[in-house]
Amino acid sequence: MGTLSCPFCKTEPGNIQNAIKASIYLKAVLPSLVDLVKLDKPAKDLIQSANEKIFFSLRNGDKTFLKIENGEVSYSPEKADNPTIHILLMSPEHAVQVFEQGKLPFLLKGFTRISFLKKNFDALTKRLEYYLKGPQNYTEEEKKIYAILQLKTALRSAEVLAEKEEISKKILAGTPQGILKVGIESINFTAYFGYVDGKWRYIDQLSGQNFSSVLILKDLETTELLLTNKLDTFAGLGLGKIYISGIIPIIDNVGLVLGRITQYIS
Amino acid sequence: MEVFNYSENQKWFERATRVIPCGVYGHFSPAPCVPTNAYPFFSTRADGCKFWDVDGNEFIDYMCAYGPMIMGYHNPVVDEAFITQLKQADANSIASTKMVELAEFLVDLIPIADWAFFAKNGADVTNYAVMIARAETGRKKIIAIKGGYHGTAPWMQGIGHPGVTEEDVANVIRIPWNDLKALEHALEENYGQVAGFISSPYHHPVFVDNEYPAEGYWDGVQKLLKKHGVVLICDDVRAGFRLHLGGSNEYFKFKPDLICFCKAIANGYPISALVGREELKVTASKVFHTGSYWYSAAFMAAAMANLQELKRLNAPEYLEKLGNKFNEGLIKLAKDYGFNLKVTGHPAMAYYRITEDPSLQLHQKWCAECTKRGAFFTSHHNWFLSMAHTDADIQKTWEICEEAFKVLKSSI
Repeated sequence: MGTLSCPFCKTEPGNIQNAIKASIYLKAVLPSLVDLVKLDKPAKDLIQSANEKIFFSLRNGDKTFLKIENGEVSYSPEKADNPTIHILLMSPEHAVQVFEQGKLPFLLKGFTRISFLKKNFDALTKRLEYYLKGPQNYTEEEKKIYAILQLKTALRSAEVLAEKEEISKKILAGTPQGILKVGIESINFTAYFGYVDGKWRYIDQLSGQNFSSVLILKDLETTELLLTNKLDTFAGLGLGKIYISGIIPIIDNVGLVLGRITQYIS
Repeated sequence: MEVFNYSENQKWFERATRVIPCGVYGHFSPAPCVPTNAYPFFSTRADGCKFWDVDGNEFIDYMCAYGPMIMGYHNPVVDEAFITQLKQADANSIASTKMVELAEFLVDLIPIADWAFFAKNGADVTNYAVMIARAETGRKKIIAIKGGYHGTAPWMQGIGHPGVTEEDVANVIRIPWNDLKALEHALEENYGQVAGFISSPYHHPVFVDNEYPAEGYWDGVQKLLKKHGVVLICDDVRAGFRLHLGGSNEYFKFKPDLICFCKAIANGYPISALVGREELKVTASKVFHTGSYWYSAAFMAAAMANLQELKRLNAPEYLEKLGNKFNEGLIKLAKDYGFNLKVTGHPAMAYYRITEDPSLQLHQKWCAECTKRGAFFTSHHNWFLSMAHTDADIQKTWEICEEAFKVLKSSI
């Protein structure tokens, strides 16, 4: 398996740090494979003929179930079916080593699928890494994929922090409950993050107009500047590169949580 | 009715972003002005209750510099006092007698005050008040209200904000407004550790309806604080001198140990004040707190002239009456167009919200449409009235508001 090398990660000691990192990998990074194969043809080609159900389980921790079928990937946070491959991560530290340093996981099931793991899945995760690692000499289409994957992964990571990180919990405890719509105007992309069923979570699609705040980035250039921490967001608002409306404290506070992701992955 | 163009504002803002973080920072930042393209960013001049932006657009100002302007821009009495003192002495190597005169004036004006101390901004004196409470009690913890604002020093900000550490806020306990049980619980849970309770006289946070103290709230607070030996700090920076010249606590009938003033104290000239009870004077003397410009005499002269004018004109009564008239008109206009405009807080500095849309987007749109036509309204913050707002200004504002309601109605 590719290292998924922390586009993101600043390895630091500490169980909590590793527990949160492991969760981000399992609940935010791996689920981004769903979007990757939808958006990126080379990624889709890698799994076009595959029919696998991969179950990642962190002992006493998070689970990720990926179903690869008909050139698509679907994700579930629980075991949704009988897996063809079961990868066990012994501890958060082990999970971080697997995802960042390429250490071998424990394969509990799927010994006959090692070839798929080593070739196709490894290449698939490397393709994800290509986008999550940050801006490169992307084509115009790749720029779009980069922006979408980064934003969705960030919003999914925010869900992890909302559940597991003390400071994020405190920030969100003082936040009005509602749903934030995040979008990129030029490519007509939207995703959501909000308080639903008693917790703050990432929402892929929202039926109706039930959001309480809006944060729209004008174009891909603005999005890249924001993602690479090169954008003065207040200046961006005044210049019309960013548009906000609705309950602004939700935007402020979710922004604070999003800003904390780099404490774990960079 | 003309809808304003902001092309010069945009040019200046672009220039600003090259050399200033945020372009315009802090509470003047465009961030809460929704949408930002409905708002001006830079002014060229101001007079009375109006200001003009760099595009030449004229606004009737309902933010009053976010509170400081109470007599009107360029009030001749206040400005004359400032200029006269400026010509005599302002910054100097020793203190001015104006400082003594202003302290005497405040001690006479404010019933709980036995002494006064001067600084520049509201946060200078909220910080000082907290230090005095800690010095007096030998305790660390401060209880504050959720959503209450006391400046931008790290202890006053929320956890997770850039530049704020967990240690900075470790000794601040936040409780809901109007919740005596929460206060009692916080005091019991932190028995013998709470130095002070800091609160505005009524709850005027941003983005949400403002709230008056419930019947018996301040009595209950005072009893609990007395029982636990906790210093009561009234942060009257925003409301001070608008509700009552003796401090807003007089309006709500409670007696704090310390009161923080700023904003309306000098009609825009930079000065703040902490006043306190005799019992805390020696402790105050032991807490070292100072600043480069805290002795500038011209600002003290301006404060004195401003407060004398407010007293002469009985400003709180005028502002309350004007505010009630203004609000009645606004509420009726809204109703005529099928909207419910909720007005909360004191009429001199009320908070407004169109209730049909809990996400505030409708209200934001209405405020933006008003601003683009010359009534400077923000949608997130309470507004302010001044002694310079006249019936004619109110009438003109109603006309603008009506036009904006028409636009709002046609858009939904």
